[in-house]
Amino acid sequence: MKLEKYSKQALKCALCLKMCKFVCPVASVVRREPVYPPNKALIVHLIASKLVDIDEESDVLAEYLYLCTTCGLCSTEPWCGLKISMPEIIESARTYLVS
Amino acid sequence: MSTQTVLKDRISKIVGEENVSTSLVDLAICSRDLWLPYFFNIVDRKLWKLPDVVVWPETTEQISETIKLANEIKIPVITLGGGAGVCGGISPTRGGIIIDMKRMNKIIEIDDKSLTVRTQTGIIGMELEEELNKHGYTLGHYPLSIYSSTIGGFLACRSAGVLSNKYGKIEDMVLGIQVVLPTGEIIETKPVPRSATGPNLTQLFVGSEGVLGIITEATLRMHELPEERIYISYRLKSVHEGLEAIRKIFRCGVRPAIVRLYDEYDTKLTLRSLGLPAEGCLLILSFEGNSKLVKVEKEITENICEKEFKAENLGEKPAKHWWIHRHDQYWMLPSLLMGKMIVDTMEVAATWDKLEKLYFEIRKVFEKYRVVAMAHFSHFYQEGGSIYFTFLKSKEKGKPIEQTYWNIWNDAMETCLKIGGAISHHHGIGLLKGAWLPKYYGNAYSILADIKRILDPNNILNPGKLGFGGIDEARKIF
Repeated sequence: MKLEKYSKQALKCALCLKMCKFVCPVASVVRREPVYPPNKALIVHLIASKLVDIDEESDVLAEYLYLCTTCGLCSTEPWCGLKISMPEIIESARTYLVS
Repeated sequence: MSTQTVLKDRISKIVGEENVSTSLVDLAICSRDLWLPYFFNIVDRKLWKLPDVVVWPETTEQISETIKLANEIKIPVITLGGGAGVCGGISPTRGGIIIDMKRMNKIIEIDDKSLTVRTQTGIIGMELEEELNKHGYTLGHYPLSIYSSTIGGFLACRSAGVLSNKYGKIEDMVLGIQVVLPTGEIIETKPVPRSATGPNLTQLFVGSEGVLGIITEATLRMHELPEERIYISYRLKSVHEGLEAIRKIFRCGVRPAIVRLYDEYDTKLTLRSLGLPAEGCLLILSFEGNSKLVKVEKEITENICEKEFKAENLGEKPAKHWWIHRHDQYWMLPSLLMGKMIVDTMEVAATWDKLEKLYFEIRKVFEKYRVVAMAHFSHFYQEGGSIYFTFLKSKEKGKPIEQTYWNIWNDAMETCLKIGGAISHHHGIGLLKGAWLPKYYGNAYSILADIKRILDPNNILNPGKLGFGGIDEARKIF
């Protein structure tokens, strides 16, 4: 799974108004801003835009990208009307990070 | 050691090493809200002004200790709720510590007898609402950001929900608060129904946008879940007739929960999507509460709209449709932003004698800059109401989009000041409207400045906001 394939989706998600924050089962427990789904998309956008050094930030990036069950609840209506596939965005970013 | 390392080390001792970060990812994500310049920066693949450190406290005492440390080092502290503000209110323009409040999410007490709830303020609006619903109650506070913003954010910005006509704005719902002052001292205001005990200090901190203190707990008024909710919709001839009908409804003492009057432009979009003739001005209303009272309120409203204003009854469909689909309009936002289009909202308020003039004069500003704008009027009081403009503007060749953006805002805000309206009804000031706040207050602004100086001698809390940074600080975010 290539990161570039999902970077446009990630950007779109990062520009949304974050309604899906409420339904994320992981974020509702961890309760840190970067863990909420649209911010995970923003993390992917930062990676794709080379705005973060993935070597320097590898621990934090891995932590946040793996703080997702890929349940996809955030990608369902009515929380998401953009047809974003968060599990695929997350999986592609994980693959990129590992490689 | 760098200041950042010292800070991280010292704050770790307060909240634990795992609850503090200097990672660029954390700094970037915890320092932006939904203000347009941040969206543009994201599209342009640019970072924005970052804080030095992000902290995740769990107790009021941890916040207090963090603020005491900030005073010692003389470094700013900015509070992050849900990050759903639209005015740049959490921008760390001078660096510093961001306190992400969301771990402070405990509901402390639901008082069935007094109909109040005491909660920490990092809880997301809908999280609190769902819990209250389980007990048969509602806060009645439904801003469009209810799924993403926090109770603390509502209080800090004087938020309004779409049912505000019946339940009031957040400042009408708060009885007492716990606040950490800019020196780290913790104070409480008493949760009493009303008092005659001097000036109301609760209201000093409500709307202070993290500049005068950090609200850590609040006691809020709640209501029994409504027995019934009914919807009704009308087509009126014009904005003037629509506003007059609403004014009369409120003069009778009727308080619908939802009241939304769309101007001709907004009506076209809304009614077309429902397959109805796109003419006139759509008015949607809902009534909720005790079934008998609801019936009476509906009857009075029907009389006013149909007999006095000859409004066309469109039934419940447009109103109900709006309630169910009220978030749908936002799905087009990312695509517009990706095209670097200005997409923004402006909410102003005025008394009845000025409201209509305010609407038409601000419309002229949008026309001057060839901006596509539509409006609805959605929060009403016996004395007046608010206007909510949504405006869009494509990039023009040879003109920096930032310049256009500030020109529109400047002319609109100056128009509002000239007419005597409020430059914000429920979004707050942030960085966006700071330049016009001193003018709005007039010579009373010096009192606000004096209060800030006395409470915050080291200018620690959210510096540069509520007009203390001027327009230059705001422009730097682009």
